[in-house]
Amino acid sequence: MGTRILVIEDNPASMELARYVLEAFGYTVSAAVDGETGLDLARAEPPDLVICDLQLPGINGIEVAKRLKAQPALARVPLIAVTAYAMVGDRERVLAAGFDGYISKPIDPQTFVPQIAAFLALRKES
Amino acid sequence: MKSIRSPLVKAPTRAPTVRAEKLMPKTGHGDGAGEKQGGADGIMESGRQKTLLKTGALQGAIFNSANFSSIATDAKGVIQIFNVGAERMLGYAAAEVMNKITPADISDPQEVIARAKALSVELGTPITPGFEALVFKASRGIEDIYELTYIRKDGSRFPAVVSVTALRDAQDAIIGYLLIGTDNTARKLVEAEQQKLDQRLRDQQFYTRSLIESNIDAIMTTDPRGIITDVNKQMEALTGCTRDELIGAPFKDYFTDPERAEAAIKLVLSEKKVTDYELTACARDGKQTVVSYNATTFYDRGRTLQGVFAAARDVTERKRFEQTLQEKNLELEGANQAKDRFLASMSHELRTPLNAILGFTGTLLMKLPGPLNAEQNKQLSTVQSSSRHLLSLINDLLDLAKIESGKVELLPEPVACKAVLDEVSAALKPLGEAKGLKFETQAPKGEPMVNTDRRALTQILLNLTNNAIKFTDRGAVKIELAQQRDNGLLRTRFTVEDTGVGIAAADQAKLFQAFEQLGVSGARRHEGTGLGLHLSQKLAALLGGRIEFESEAGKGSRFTLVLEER
Repeated sequence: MGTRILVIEDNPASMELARYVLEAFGYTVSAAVDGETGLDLARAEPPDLVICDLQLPGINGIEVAKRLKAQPALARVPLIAVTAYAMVGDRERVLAAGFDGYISKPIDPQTFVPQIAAFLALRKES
Repeated sequence: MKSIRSPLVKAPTRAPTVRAEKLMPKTGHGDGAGEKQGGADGIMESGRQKTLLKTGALQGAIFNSANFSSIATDAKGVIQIFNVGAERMLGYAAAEVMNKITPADISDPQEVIARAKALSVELGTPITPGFEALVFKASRGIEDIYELTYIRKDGSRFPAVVSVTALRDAQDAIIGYLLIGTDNTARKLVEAEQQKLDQRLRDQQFYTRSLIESNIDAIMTTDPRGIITDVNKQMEALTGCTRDELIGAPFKDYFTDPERAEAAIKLVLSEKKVTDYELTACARDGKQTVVSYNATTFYDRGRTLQGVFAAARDVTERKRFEQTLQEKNLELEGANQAKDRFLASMSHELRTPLNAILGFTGTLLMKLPGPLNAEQNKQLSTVQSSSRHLLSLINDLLDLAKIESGKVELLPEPVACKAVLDEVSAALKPLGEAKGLKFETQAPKGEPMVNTDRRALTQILLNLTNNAIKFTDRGAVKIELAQQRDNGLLRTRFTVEDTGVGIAAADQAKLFQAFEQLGVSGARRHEGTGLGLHLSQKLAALLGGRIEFESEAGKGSRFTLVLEER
C-alpha cells in the first residue's frame, strides 16, 4: 500500500485530471465529491495528504479545513487547497483558514506532482 | 437770599393764602396762623414772624430775588408789584407795567384762551379768557401751579412755571393775587433732550428687535437656569407657541429629548459656546423639526452673565439629504460588492475548464498516456500556448477590472530595488536566454530603496521586461536601475532596454491603448494579450509614477518607469 491521497473535488474533469496525474506518479487516490464525504473518508482511514477544492456542494473547503484541523488524528495531515479562486487575497484567506498549501487552477501537471511531493516530504520530516 | 426757606416762600404748596403786608391794612396786632397754635413754641414762632414782617426783611428777600418773577396784582388783575426778577425775565421796567396791564397781557393769548376753555369744562362754569383764567382756581382757594408762556417786551417768549396765590385781607376778602414765576427754559431743554434720548433708545430697541426678528434662525435667549427670556417669530413658529407662552418657560420643554436640551444649556455655560448641536424641536401640534443650535453666553456691561443666546437652524432638509445620500451610498456599495462577486465568479468559472484543458494537454505532452508523433506534439503545443494565452488574458482583464473599480489595494513600503530586479531577472532571464538573448541587469552601488507597493512595481517590471523579450529576436535585454536626488526629490528610474523591432513613430501614440499590439509589417503577431502596457501604465499612475519611452523602429525600445518621492 503506497502513499494515499484524498482528493475532495466536485468538478468531474478536475477530479479526473488530479486522479490521473497522481496515479501516474504512483500515488493511491481516494475521491470524494463533497466535503462531508471527504471528512467521512478521512476519519475512516486517515490519508497521507488531502487535496481539497474550495467551492464544493454542502460545506465548502474552508469549513472542511476547520473540521479536519479540529481533529487531532487528522490535524497533522497536510491539507492543500487546489482552487480556481485565484484573485488577490485568496491565497492569504485560504492559508488563514488552516490550509497548509495553496495551488491555483489551472494546475501545471509538470509542477503539480513535485509540489505535492514536497508537502509529503515536509510532513515526514516533522 | 436764595437760602431762605420760610413758610411764606413755600406758601403756594402748603396753604392757599398769605398775607402781604404792603397790600394788607395795618392792624397793629398780629393775626397769623402761628398765633392760633398757642403754647410756648407757637408764641415764639409768632413772635419771629412778626419781627420778619415788621422789618420787611421777608418781603425784601422775596421781591428782590432775581430768579423769581414776583408779580402782585389788585383784585382786578392790574399789576401792583413787579419785582426785579420779573423785570429781568420779562424785559419790562416795573414802572412800565404797574397800574397799567394785567399778567394776561404778557402771557401767550392762545394759551390763556385754551386755559379758560379747559377750566370752564373742568369746573363747570364759564371762565373768561383773560386774567380770570390765570387766577380763577386760586380765587376759589384751589392750589394752582401751571405752565405758561410769557411774552417779553421784545416779543420773545419763554416757558414759565407760575404759582398763583390769592391775597386776602383780615376778613378773608380777596384784595389781589401774587404770581410767582420761574423761567422753565432750562427744564424744557432738559425735557427735550430727554425726549430725544428716549427716542434714540426706542430706535435702538427697534433696531435690536428687528435684527432678532429678521434672522432666519429661530432665536432665543434664556437665563442661566435655561428659562426662556426672549424669542423671535421663528421660535414661535418652531414651537407653535406664542411669545408670551414661551417667555418664562423652561427651554427644554420644547424638545423631544429634554435631557439633551438641558445638557446643551449646561454645555454652553461651561464652554461659553456650542456649535452644531442637534436637537429635535417638538411643536405644540406634534410637528418635529430637526434643528442645529449655535449658542453662546451673553453678558451685561458689567460682564455679569445674563444667560444663553441660542440660534436654531432647521436642518430637516439637510438631514433628509444626508439620509438619501447614505442610502445611495449603501446602494452603490451593494452594487460594488455585486461587481466584486461577479469578477470573483468569472475568474473561478473561467479557470475551472482551463484546468482540464491545460492539465490534460500537459499530461499528453508529458507523454504520460503514451508516446506522441511529431504532428501530435506540435498540435498539442499549440493548444497549450493558446490556452496559456487565454489564461493571461483572463488574468489581465481581471487586473484591469480591479484597477478600474479602484479595488487594487496598494501598500507603500520601503522596497529594496535590487531585490525586485533580482526577482524579475530570475523569472524572465530563462525566457530571454531560451531565445538566445543576452539578459543583464545593472544597478548602482549601495542599497537603493524606494517607497512603493512592491507587488505593483514587480508586475510593471515583469510586463515591461516580458514585452522586451517578446519583441526582440536578436541582441540583448537590459534592466537598469538609477536613482538621484534633485532638490529634495528622490527620483528612481527602472529602464528596460531592448534591441528589438522598436516602434514606428506613427504607432507610438496608441502604444498604451488596450488591445493594441503593434508590429512591423509582415511580422508575425506576437503572443501576449495587448493589455500589458495599458495595465502597466495604469499601475504606474496608481503608484504616483509614469512610464516614459523612446524607440526607433528596427533598432529597439527603451521603457522607463519613473517613481518620484519627496
